[in-house]
Amino acid sequence: MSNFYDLAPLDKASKPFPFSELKDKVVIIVNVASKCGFTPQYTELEELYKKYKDQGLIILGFPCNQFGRQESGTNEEIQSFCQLNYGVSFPILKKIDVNGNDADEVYKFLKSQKSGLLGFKGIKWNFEKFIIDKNGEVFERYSSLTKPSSLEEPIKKLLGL
Amino acid sequence: MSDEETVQELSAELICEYLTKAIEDLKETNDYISYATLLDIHLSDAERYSDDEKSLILKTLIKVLEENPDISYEIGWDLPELLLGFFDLEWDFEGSLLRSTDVIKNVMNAFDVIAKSGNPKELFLRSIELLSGLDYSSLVGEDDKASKIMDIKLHVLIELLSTSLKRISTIYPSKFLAMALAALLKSYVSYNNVTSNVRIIARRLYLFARDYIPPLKPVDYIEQHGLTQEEADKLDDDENYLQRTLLQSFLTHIFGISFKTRSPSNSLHLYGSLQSKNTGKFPKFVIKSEGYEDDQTSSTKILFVRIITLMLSYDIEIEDEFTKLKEESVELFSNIDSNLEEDEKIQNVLKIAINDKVSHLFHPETEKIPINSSGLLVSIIYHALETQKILPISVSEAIALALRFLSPGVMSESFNNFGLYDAVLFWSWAAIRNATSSDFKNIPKYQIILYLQILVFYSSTTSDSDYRMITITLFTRVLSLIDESIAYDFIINTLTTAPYENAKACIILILKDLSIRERVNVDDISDKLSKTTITKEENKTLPKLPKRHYIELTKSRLEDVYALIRETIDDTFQENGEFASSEKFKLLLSYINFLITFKNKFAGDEIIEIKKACEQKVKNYKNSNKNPPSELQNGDNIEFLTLSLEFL
Repeated sequence: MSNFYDLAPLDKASKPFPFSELKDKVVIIVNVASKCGFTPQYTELEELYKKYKDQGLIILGFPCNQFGRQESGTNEEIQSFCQLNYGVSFPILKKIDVNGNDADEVYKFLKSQKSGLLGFKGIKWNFEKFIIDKNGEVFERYSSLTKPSSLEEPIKKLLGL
Repeated sequence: MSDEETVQELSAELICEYLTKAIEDLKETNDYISYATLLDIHLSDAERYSDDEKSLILKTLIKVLEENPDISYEIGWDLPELLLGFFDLEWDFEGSLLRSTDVIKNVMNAFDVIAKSGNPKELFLRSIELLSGLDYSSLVGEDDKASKIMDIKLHVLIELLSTSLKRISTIYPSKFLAMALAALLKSYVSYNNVTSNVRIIARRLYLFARDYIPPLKPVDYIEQHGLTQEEADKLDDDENYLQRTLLQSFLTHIFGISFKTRSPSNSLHLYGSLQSKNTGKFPKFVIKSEGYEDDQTSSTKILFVRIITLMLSYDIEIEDEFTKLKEESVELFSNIDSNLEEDEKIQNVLKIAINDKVSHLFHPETEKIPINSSGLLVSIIYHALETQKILPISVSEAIALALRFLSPGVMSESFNNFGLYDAVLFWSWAAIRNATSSDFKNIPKYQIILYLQILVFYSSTTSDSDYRMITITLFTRVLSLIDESIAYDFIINTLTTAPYENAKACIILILKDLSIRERVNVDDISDKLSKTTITKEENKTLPKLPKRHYIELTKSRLEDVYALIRETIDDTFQENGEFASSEKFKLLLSYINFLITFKNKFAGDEIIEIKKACEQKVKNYKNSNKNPPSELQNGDNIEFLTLSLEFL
């Protein structure tokens, strides 16, 4: 997979969500989990989304149960959790694997484009973030420890604000 | 009055005053050694103070170090050992959390201050030295207090190691990381030699790997070392590669060491689930082991699953690694000279397996940490359990894994590893559960023989009855699937030459079972027939397939068994009439049981001869008035033999 816009992961209803529709947008992709110490990051992610969605920002959450089994619910339960507890309005797609042989193509692509600490490609925990620019290039990768609010500056820059 | 007595009489308040006032002298003289001596005098014998006094002195020390970071920097290396001593003192912590105990909290704070302002290289080396020297003997007997204290000691030392490592300024971080990981693994090996309850230390090792952040390079390192940008980039890439490799290896070693003496029970669970699919019920022993799963066992399992998660994060593609491991294992034995005798081929396999084992061992003194293939094999099962996905494995691959990983343990006890035994059983069952005879057709005979020998060895030497049961069941299943002549020859050779009397008794029962049971389908003929296109008319004319037992007791085979029984009768009783051993006696009983089942197949005079020989031995034994071996103290045993003989 050599092009971000060729990817088409499945949405919450298991229908393709073609990334070709994300052209000219700045995208944040984050692997999420409902029972994680980092789960409150939903709040700041939602704030970023509301603030910049009209300027071209989109955030995509990929639920993943690979880290401490902290996303064990069904896709419906996850959607409901995000909306009820954090008022999430950005798309939460279908639950996937981000590491290992069954990792989703989206994550295979992202990891191949940007490594983490020491050059490890694997996702370390929930709420790692990737920013993709308007041309579909992976701009940067941020660890779970990076607060979503601290992404505001690079996002503004990439949005041309 | 001696100097020592003078020191002992000093109050805690006075000592605090000395520690504070001595700073003034230190500032004038820069004599850090004298200040270190002062601390040594007053902190090395802290048991004379009450808990409140200990806390007072520690708080004063922390204050001094916080206000004077130069002291930490100059003499910080001397303090960890003094502070560790506080953990071994008597203090009241009952009913409270250890870490909320005032003295402990203050010792930990003091470590924290030193770690942040001490000389990082010196402290790094000091923490390695102290970790290596930790005495785990207090953990024998699983004393709760000792275990908690050891946890705190490990925590402060590993934190010191970790913090000082982050503060070292170097362009070669892999050198320091290698030293740290080697020290941690060395400690883990020592810890494991004392207790199998490894959760506490394994968790510390996991956290070290998870939270590792490499030391920073000096800001001006390019100029300082006269590097071009290209050279600097290459150095970065090389160092990152080395650190990644070290961390990956480290995680596999944790699995390799963790289950040296303790069972992960994974093969029992797999076997239980296979049984439940066949019978709808879990066998009793699985229920038993589930029942034993207390919080600690459960949290230990969770910890190992976390390590698996970290392995995936650190780019160990478990499924690909399993494929590599299987291929490597098959390849390892693929070049054995086919012209050699079977025994020589087996000897060659053993040599290859030992060499392979040695090449993957962790040698603390070399500070090199190769990937631990044994640990990798064990870890893959945790991945399988977590993902509920049993990876595909063929019979030939499962046998190659057994030869590679278990045969060294047959040669030397030091190579035994319960985790490996469990893993090999797991993958053997995974491969053999749906196997047919054709899966064994292309496997060299010497590999099958050694595989069977390995199963006999481990079933005879394990002290765990559940493992013995599933190993013997596996052994029986393999015998039923391989060529009948190989199976029979193996059984007779084992009964003739194997040193394990307990195994022999069991093998006689297996021989009996395989000689009674009929093959469900005679694979080859049935397969060929099923694949042949024939008309119904033609089908009618085909002769009915003869019923065949898994092992047919032919005339010559009956003669083999007869000879073995005669030999066993002589071996069971000594010349003076006494029992040779309880195992021999049980073996004889097994043979008599076999004879009862198949008495119609033996010649009548042979049965009479055996019966007479046994009766004569029993008579001699009774005349000897000797007690049987302690395991057979129950007098009914000899009567049981007499009774059995009546059925012949």
